[in-house]
Amino acid sequence: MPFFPISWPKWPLFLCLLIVTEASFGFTVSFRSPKEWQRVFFYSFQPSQPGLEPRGSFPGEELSLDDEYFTVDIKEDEKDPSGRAYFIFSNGGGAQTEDLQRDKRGYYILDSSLQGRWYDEPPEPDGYFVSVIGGEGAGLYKEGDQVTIEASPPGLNQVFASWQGTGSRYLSDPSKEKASFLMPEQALDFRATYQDFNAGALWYEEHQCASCHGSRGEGGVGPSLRHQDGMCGSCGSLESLTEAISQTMPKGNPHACAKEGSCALEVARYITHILASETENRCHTPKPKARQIRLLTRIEYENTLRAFFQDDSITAGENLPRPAKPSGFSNAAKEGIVSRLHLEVYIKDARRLAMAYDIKDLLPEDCKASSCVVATLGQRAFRRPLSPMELKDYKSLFEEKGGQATVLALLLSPHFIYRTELGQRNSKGIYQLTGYEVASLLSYTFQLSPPSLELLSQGRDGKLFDPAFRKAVIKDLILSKKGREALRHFALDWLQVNDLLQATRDDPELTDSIRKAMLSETADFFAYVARTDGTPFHTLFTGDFSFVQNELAQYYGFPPPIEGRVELEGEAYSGILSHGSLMATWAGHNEESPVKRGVFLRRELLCQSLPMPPPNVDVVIPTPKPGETMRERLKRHQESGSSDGGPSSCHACHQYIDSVGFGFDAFDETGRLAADHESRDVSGNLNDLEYLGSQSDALFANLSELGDHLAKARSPRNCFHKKFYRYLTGRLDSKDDQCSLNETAKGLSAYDAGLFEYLIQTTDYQRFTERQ
Amino acid sequence: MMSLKNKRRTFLKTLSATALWPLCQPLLARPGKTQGLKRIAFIYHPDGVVLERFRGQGLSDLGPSLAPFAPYLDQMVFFDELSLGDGLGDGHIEPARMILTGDRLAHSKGSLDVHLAEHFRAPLIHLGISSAKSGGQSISYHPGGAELKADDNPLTAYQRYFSQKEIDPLDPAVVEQIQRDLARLLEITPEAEQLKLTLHQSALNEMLREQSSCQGYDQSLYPFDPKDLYHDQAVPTILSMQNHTLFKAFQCSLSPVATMQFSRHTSPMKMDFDFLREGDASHPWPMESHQASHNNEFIHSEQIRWFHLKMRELLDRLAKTKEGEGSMLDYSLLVFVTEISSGKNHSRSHMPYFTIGGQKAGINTGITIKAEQSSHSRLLATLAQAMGMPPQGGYQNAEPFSEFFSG
Repeated sequence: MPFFPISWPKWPLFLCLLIVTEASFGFTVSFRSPKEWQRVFFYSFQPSQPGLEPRGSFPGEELSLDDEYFTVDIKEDEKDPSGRAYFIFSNGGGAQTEDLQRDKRGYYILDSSLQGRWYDEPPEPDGYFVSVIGGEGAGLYKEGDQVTIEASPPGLNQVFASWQGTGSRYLSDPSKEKASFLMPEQALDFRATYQDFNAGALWYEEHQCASCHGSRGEGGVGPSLRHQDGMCGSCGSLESLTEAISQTMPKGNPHACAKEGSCALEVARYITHILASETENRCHTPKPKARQIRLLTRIEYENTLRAFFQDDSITAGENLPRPAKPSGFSNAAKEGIVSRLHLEVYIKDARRLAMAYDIKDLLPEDCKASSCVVATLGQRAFRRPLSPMELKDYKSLFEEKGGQATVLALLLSPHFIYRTELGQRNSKGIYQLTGYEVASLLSYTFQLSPPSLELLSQGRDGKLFDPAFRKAVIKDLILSKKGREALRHFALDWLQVNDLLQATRDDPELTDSIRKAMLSETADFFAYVARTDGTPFHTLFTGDFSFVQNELAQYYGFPPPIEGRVELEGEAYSGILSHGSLMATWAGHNEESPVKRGVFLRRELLCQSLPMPPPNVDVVIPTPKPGETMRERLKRHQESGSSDGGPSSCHACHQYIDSVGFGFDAFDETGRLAADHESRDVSGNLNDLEYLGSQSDALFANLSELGDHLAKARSPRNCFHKKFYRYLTGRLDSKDDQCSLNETAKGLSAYDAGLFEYLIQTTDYQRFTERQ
Repeated sequence: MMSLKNKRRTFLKTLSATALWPLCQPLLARPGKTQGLKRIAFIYHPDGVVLERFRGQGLSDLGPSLAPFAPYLDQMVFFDELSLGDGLGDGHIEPARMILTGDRLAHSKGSLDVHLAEHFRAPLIHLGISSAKSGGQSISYHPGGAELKADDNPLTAYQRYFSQKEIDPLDPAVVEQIQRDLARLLEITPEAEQLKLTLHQSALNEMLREQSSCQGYDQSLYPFDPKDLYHDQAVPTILSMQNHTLFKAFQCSLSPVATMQFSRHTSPMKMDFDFLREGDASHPWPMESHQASHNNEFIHSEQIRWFHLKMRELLDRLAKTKEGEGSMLDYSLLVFVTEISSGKNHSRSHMPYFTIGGQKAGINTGITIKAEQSSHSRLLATLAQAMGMPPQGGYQNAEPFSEFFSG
């Protein structure tokens, strides 16, 4: 039996809100922040009444982005007798507007140099918008500007095909991945299209072609398939190669491929477009990644302090500035920069903890000599033995200033605050990571914690350079308690649902406690799939079970008592896709949002690049007419952007967004099944599922079928693979990463590939332990 | 008193810019003319001067109004026959707007002090004394024309810059070890990653600098009750406090740019100060600056003399504080301005503008520059160049005075 949540009909509530809005709210102000701001806060005050702070102390309330603007309803008690409100928008990290004041609706636009300006109406853009799907370069441009667009790196076994869209005619060569043109006097849209050869790659693997020709066509028992080896020159045309494969391959079992539909043709395409162009230089000797230092994330920092003081109850770093997440993850190396605010937190934590713990309790009983004290604490802090020079310095400090000063210096040292991937230069000019650095890399990746003594000793002994040994280590790390926590954190970063804790939602039942329970459900579910041997990756999208706490079970309307694992039935449930955390995060403040959900799926689960809406677009969906569905409202909204009633410019992107987003419509913005979910049309089309421009359809009648499409497709697995690689390396992938990505992609290539097994082999690529 | 929450607000307001400012300091080391000039302050008093009692023909011929600056003559630069625009009406309003913005109506393009603060991504140290009670009389403007009010309240101004300096200093031995570790890590870090550690060092240095010398000042030195904010008798105390705040803000490198707006043109502030009374008890004290400028040249010049004597407090502090091969004054530039030249007849052809400081920072001090009726926009362009910023706004196309620069 399906579960039915408790839910009230929505329209009376909406009417109530409307009345309250008219009666109590004076006006709204909308704010557009500089693009680099990660968060926006609203602080309200009255100069004539010091101490009156209707939105709490500075920085006040955090706002949610409602498409292009952060919009605030000015309350009656925020205005002075003349009707004027005084306020400040800030990013919570030191940047803010001047003291602003306003007595009517307005739009305040702040640029990156913190210069702002009021507008009575949304400002018109100064130029024409270029939309780029699947690449970089979108933005506003003036007529005559030189515009450069660049396609995103192709996915696994894909190659760039061409640019399509209204702008393609302005390109001298649309087949170039990077192209420039002069901006005409009109808006343009571009869509990068790719040719996909994954079908051939799968056949190639399934018929064990690699056993003779090599996994990347480099040859072995059989000949190389590469142009550079002069071999595929004899492959002839695509037709002749297809024919040859049909008649003769696989060796010893000819015609096996030919029996399976398009197998021979797809393998031939894979060989001629992918394998034939492989070179020794590209993937047999891929370039090592750049050397880097990585600032510990807040949770890594806290765990490192816990390990240092051997106390898992320590809390620390709570006031550290929130990191930028260009890669989607908080451990992005490039953005890990220590600011003044960081230092204040570090110093405060270090002082508090250094005073709270007796240094004797941190050491073995027989470790009393200053050299032993310093060596022991130093290794614990720096995750490696101290160098002789460091030993000497810290020993002097300890002898002159005592234990507290020594602990303080260790905890404030850059060697504590950063983990390094610097290595030691070898005779070939390549930097080989030290065994300790590899230990830290594994431990922080899979446990968000410093390496244990055992792992450090394995690093010291060089064992972690052996891929097989490393796999066994990773397996243990994942299966540990800390490993579970690390995966739970990873999941919430991956799905970008942490913002739910700060999101504005009108429903008072969506309490902080429920929100946390929702995040916990998603984290638990992911951790279960990732740590359970043999559980396919696609369970994330198709699983018919979940893990809920009692309070959340009641909120969802599950019959009590339920705590822990719960089996779910019904077409509305499908793995994480139906989780309250996702549904409530990707929603408006008082109604569901197919657009936000569609964009989320495309960007985060499929890694398909969609631009932000142009700045002059009215992104507010029109108020519903009586009986009008969300689907009808969106259609009306899009048509209003068209001058001739036909497809508007919105269509270029929304053809990929809305129809997918409707699949989630059974769930409202509270994360629960809507009261009328059974009567809602949740069918749609997950078109161009493998890559944008593939001109393919994937129709579904409900969320469960949508999940099935994701399960069968390669793009979600490839996308997850790419995301995990970013998490592992702390950087955005580029073309240079394709070889490393290819090497470990096989772990998720099969339909029933297990997530646990995949994670274990994610470091199993060449030059994992090398840098340049 | 400002609430703690407001302290937080004002602190954060300056925080991001303050954090970036130390990184921008190398930008000041512009090749050529003014290598080493580290900061600039614009000092305003209202209602012009009494030209006859200001200065004579020779460089050292300082009149009574300028007498307090005699010890710093070798650090001064005068500008003869400098004009402040033309074709204007007789009032004070438009000239006051032009002082730091250049041409007429150029206040819509912003003032030099604001431009400099933006250029260095630093907060403008913006201090006032009875300057902000009504609009249209400020000398500072945002690009776009919005008037920027100086903070008249010395307590809130102090809190704005010094309220969050609560962290106890770290033990120097600990600091030394951290810096040693940073330096060693920097040595083995590839160039592309070094910026992270450089920023780390800058943040640490900034914090240490504040801890060592940036504790603000002891406000108990100044008996000031906030309820007297706009009480005429409080003005001498407020001016001293603002002077001290400006000095500490410079000393702590909170910003390279400051503006001190002493009162405003045609202000009703009465100069009923003890010092002035001592000057000549027979004169009809108290008297407003504007009233004096039209009716009593002696009192007007004495008012200006008193103001300059108070500004000596700032000069003396800068001169007594060691920096580089000299004092802070040697690397600072104080620019004295007002909106008209003769307060009596509102002339604007002999603007009594002068600078003090910068002797070891590439400024050709101890000279008089013949401006030959050229616009004061040239002075603004000169000062912009001295600070290593391209001229912009209303002084964008003005030619700097090359004589201002040594070498």
